[in-house]
Amino acid sequence: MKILIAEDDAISSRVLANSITEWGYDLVITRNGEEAWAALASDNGTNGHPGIQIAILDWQMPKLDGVELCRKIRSHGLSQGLAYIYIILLTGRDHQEDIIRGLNAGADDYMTKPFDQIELQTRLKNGERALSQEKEALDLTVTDRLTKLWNRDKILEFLEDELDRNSRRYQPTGVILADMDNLGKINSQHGRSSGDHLLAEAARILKDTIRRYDRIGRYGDDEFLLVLPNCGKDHLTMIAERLRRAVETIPSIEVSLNSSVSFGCVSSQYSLTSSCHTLVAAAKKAVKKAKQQGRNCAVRIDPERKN
Amino acid sequence: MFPENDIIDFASVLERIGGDKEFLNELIQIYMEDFDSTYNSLVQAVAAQDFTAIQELGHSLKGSSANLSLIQLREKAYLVETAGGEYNLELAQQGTSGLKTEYERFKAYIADRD
Repeated sequence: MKILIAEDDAISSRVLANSITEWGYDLVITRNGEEAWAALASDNGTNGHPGIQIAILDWQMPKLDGVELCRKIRSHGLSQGLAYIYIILLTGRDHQEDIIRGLNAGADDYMTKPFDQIELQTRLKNGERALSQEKEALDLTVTDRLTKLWNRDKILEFLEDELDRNSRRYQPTGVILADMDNLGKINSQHGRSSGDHLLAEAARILKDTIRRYDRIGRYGDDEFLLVLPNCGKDHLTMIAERLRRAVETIPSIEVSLNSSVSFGCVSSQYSLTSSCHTLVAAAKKAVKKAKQQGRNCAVRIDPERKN
Repeated sequence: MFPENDIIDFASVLERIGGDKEFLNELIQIYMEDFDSTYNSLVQAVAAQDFTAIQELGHSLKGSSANLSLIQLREKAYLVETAGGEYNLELAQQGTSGLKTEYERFKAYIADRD
């Protein structure tokens, strides 16, 4: 975990840095509010890495003080959708009235100076715990409980973002709709828990089989939607076939369950203006064809070229 | 054990930094390197009767002195900070000269200890 210190007092900064690095955290040291803001803006977790997650800000600093910086982080974070930064404000013992102002400005915690190591360590642990709870709560709103995959809304959001990005780069996006075969039959013959087990296993295998930068979500009861960046039609067919083979035989607690999956594939390659809606509708049509062809197969539909 | 005195409370500062005496020596070095320039700025601020700067510099010295449990230096810095906030020139001058006296005592104490 990466921690930022914004503190103009050299001794306080040195004491903080000494302990924090000893406890194994990564550290970014700044001497005033403006430096701290620049560091936070350039290392905020938007590039795929976690970035700075905890900020320890001194109350009184040159240029931009702790409270103003705190407000800036909160208002900017909200408008830019940045990851939450846990803020600990530092204040002098005889400035306790500042604490209320600090907390009102969006700080999560405070420490009065001079502080001791045990107090600092405890407060950092509290911060870590709060951040992990925050992440869990966030995850619950975007993930599917059973399969732990992205939920329908989130995977569609990924698809829209990907189409937007890829149309600017003139790269195709692949979409695969994977539909469990005979899930209704399995549920009625062996019970819902068997069906759930198969779904969760299929989700795990599909997720392990896709490329690192592909996304997969649960689209419907027995459907998974896969978004494959920069994936043209030929590559798409290969990936779908690899997925089909991977889930053809899912190890099951029940005997002899027919657990195959049918795949409907479509690439935006022929129509860079394809919308999320038209691609998913085309993938559905392809799944239907796969079912008609006897299930456990992958069918690709190529949208008509738009001139 | 270090002798008790009103210059530095070794027990409390060592407790805060996990008893690391070498680290304490490093912190004392940092304090000494910073003190002169902050003090010079303070003298200039007092001469110019710049009370905002007096308050800020007093606050800054108070913080670093408290970090090292420098009892009298923290007291004098607090006087300076208060003087700045109250636009009290006489108190600011008194605090500033008190800072110098206490700093010299602190330096002599550390030199003796070495």
